[in-house]
Amino acid sequence: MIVSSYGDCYARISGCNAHQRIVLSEALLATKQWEEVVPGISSVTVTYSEDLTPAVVERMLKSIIRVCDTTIPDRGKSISFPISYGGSDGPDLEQLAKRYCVSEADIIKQHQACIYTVEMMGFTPGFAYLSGFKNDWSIARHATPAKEIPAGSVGVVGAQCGIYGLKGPGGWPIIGRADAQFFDVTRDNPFLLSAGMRVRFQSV
Amino acid sequence: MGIIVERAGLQTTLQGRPRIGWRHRGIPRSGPADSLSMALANRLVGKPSYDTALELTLTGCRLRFGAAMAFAVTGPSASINLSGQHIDAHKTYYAEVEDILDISAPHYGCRNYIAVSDSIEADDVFESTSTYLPAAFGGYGGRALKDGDAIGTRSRSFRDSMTTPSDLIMPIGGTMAIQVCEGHDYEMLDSASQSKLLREPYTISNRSSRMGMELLGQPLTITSKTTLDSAAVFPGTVQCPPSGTPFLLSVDSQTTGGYPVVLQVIRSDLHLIGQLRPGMKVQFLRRSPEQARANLTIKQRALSEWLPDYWF
Repeated sequence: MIVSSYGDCYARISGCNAHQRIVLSEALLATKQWEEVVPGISSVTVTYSEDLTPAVVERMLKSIIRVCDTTIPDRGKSISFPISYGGSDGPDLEQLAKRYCVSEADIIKQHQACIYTVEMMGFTPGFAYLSGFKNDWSIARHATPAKEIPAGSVGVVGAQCGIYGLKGPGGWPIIGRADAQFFDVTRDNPFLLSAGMRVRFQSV
Repeated sequence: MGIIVERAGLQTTLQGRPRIGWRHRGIPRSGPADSLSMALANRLVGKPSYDTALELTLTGCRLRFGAAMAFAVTGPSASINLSGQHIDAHKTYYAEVEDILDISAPHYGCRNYIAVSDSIEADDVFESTSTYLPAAFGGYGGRALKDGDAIGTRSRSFRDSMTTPSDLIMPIGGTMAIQVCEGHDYEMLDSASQSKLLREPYTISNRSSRMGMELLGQPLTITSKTTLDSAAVFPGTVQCPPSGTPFLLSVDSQTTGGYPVVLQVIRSDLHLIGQLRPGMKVQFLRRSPEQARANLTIKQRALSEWLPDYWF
């Protein structure tokens, strides 16, 4: 892992694996010393107030890295979502099947067979980055993002699966829509998912 | 009672504190796009810098007072009228019931702010009343104000009259100079692109919102073809997608992104981004992290007497 600071109040630990990223972000959040602790797919970025200097921050992050492998994260609970594939709920499924010369049913079967881990929440409220989509297709992002994707849409890119908690623009090919409110500000806990949770999908 | 919106304008929202400490859950910062202008408005009605106020976008607005209260308007220069009488920005005024406050489009810049002495009722979500439009929460039911809306207010005693010290009023013209540091992925730009980005002015395109804005100008070249893992982005981040047309992110920016982070606006200049509007030019000025930190100290000191509670 590499620690590098940039700008006047930003520092990033990059080159983390999933385990390191989860442990590091939890440890950094627990110290309450940082304005923001933002996990990425292979990094954790912090922002800090002007009381700290880049040199001090780099030392602090290096010392937290030294202790991070000694704790095992709680992987959290497992949760299963009903999903409707293809058609207007999964407008890109047909194209994907054509491009990779498989049937839509093949993609659906593979998508349902996998057990996913919530790697991180981010992008916009309720968006979940899931890992664990085992496949040989190397699906890429759209060249031009779709203008509006409905909330609950499930997209796939490479070995990742993404759930859109909000309607809005997005670049991931959408294969289906899960029947759940992933982000609802009126609930006590607005977020259905959090990092470390296990997720499965079942056809409705 | 309250304040009635007679002409809401393009996008008038209630904004309060930025949301700090929520980005790991995908919740953006929000709050005023130009926090300094909002703080100056609140100061003139005796409120803390980040108390809830109205943020106007490009077209002004017209309000009718349902109760007597003090108010102040800040931000770029615009024509301001109180029931037909011309009034000044950056000054406390007292409105009577049925008085009408009419604010024109700003002559330059993008956002004006109205603060009132009464307390504004607003939805408090994730510890802030700031409106975040994409997820429809905070402020006035999570949305921009519409004609006919009534903003609830609670009476609060206030009797002072003040004027913003003139040296704290930021002049805004057609070009804005904004200080930046190298971003995390600055080295992914080829050397010609590095010098273009820091030498040539860029023009704000029509693709512009509280989330961010596209910068038109000399296209940039990213040397590496490898795609990056999604990582943190912040207000003030300049991202460069493969097209070579950079984006400057603003207060409602997403929390993560996969494009190279080529520049990062220094903390003490973040509020300037809120005044950029389509057609305006931005000239980036490169600073070392040490210079950026020194500038923050200097600017904080300059503001500390008038706005002791303001933070960048």
